[in-house]
Amino acid sequence: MGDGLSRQEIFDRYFDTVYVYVAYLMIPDHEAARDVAQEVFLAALSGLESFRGDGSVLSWLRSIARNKVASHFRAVAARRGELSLPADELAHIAEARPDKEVSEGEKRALRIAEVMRSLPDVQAELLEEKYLHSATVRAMAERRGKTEEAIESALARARRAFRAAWQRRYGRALEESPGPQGSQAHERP
Amino acid sequence: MNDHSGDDRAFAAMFKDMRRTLAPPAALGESVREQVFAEMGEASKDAPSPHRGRPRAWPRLATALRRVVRPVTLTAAAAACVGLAVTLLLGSATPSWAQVAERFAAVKTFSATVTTRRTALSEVSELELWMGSEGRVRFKSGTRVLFGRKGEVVRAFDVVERTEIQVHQLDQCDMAWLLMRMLGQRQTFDLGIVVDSFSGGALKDVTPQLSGLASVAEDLVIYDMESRVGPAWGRIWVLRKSRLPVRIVVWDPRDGGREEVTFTYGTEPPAEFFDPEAFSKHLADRSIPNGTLPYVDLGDPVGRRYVPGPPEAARALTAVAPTLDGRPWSLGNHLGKVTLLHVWDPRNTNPPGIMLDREYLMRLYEAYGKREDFQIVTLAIFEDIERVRKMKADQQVPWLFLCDGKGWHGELIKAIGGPRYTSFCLVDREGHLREIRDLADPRMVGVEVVGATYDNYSQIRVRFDDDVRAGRLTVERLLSIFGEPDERTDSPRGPNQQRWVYVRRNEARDQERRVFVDVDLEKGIVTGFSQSLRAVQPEPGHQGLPPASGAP
Repeated sequence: MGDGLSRQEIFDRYFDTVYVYVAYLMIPDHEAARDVAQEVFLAALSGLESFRGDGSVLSWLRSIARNKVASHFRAVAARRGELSLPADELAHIAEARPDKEVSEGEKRALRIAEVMRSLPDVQAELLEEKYLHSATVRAMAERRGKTEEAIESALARARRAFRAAWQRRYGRALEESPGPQGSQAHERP
Repeated sequence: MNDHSGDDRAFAAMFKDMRRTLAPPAALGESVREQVFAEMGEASKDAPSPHRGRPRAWPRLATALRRVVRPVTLTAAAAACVGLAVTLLLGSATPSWAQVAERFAAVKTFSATVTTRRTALSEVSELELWMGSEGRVRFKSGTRVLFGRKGEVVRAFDVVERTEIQVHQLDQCDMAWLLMRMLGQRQTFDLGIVVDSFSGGALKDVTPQLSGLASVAEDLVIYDMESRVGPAWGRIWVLRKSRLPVRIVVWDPRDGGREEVTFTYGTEPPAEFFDPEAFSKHLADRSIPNGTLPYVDLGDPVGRRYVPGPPEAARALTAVAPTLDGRPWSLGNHLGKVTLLHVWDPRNTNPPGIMLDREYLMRLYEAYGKREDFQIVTLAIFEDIERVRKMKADQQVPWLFLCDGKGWHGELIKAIGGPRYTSFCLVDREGHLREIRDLADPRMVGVEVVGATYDNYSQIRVRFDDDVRAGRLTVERLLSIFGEPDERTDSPRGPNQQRWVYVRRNEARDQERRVFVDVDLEKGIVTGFSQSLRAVQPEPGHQGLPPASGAP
């Protein structure tokens, strides 16, 4: 059950990672992210028996997190009398949030999140797993039953797709955009 | 490889920065941990608290029995004297407690609303229960509805998740569960047990005594009780003539906490109200909003409804509402057309009389309004037909208006589900009320009118999930919306089973959706439904990728 971890251990080990993932899906609504992260762990730890153990605990928690975030936005949309958002189309998340002040770091994170959402699921998942959750290529390969070389190639394609999507969306290359690895050039409005 | 590692480092740095930005604030984890484990009924640390895990709304019920026993402050003899004196003062019509208990035991059915306030400053929480004959009980507690029989919980459901909860997973310290055990075991209702239950054991085996307050309201008799195990005390209001208790309040002076029970007596709700099987069918009906599910079978004895009933398709087809020039109109006369029935209550808009959804409807009208097989119809919920005519002219909308001048009591609005905050009802070609929501998703309309497109596929999946699970989505209906599949393959599930694949592309996004549908050709139903979204990989170099960071 749960990779042999107790509920306490699962919480301790994965809370920060899951919170970051939820916050990434919901940025910049930190307050809601806290509630949703709580819901994720409540659902996961209450239903730990249902964890089939055919994937990692983190993958399982991520899938619960995606569902909870989707539910949250559906509820937000319903409350506002807007359209319900299908689970796999969260592109309108930014519009579903109340306006609030966001930091430069959050703006940057929001742009990354938006580009990630525009990627095909498979590529977005690879990038999330590798860079957001710091998974090793070996672990990713084992989980998918593929070779490490195949994963490396898929990651390279995903990174290229990300750059291309960034270029399309923001009108300049990733390196030219404001952020730690880019210059401080102004973005196209 | 160098390209890869440079690119890899750039992405790692970028995401590391994002992780730092999004990291949980200090101490958040600890706070969430407390909440999560408390909700689950587990201690979050090694040293468990006896109170942790109890539902916050019902703390006294779980803890009252642990309280320190105090000696009775009023001796039995003194109590008897006071009771006798008050009885003499109030006259012979005042029922004794034994008579009240006897009358209550003769009741065949009652309902009660229990509100709890943990402390003087806490939010109030509510539980509702309905006790029927033969030990049948139904509870609504938060998002849960529980059904019981003779003191046992037989089935339980969550109306938000729309799932059945396994009985063994229920928290046995939950107020509803405890009340079910305590109240449902007897064929007749025992007022002593009721008081004991609602006071969380604080007023167990206490005989209420007549209170001097009884002289204030002549048609009420009031009894007071004091706890043997703590400072809690209770008060019961009883109708003098019928001898029925109508209100019980239990106070805890230590923190101002309070439990209050209000009783209602009447005819027994219909049998299906106590039938978990009937309720589970409502659960699968997505046209019934979550918020109305707990009361969907509950009607007032004189026929008023607490929530809209389920839409009655047959009645909706025959129900007539006149057009603004007085011609009768019904959905049944428009089979073969998709109808978007827009329910508009001009009083419920701000400012009144404005059609808030006009722009949305105009867009739909422009998109599909010229088709023979689609119509928008506004049902105006208003009594003054002449004013509706004027409002329609002011809005400058071209589609048909209906108004019977009966407001929310009109035949058609009742038939499509009664008075509810409905704005739209999508009626398919066969006359099925397909969707009732606050706002009809334009993709839904697109599905009904022109069939499935790339953009509405995921919505279709969301919408069909319940129908597929319930075995209601027919192959015929699938074909009417999707058309012929792009691929058909035999399914390993068995003979007469096929997997159909529909492929839709979105060139702009370089993506395609593939919808996989498992069909049982013998039964003519869809048995499985899933989809994948994948990239259509362009030729190498097509995307004009910028150079990777650190690339030579």
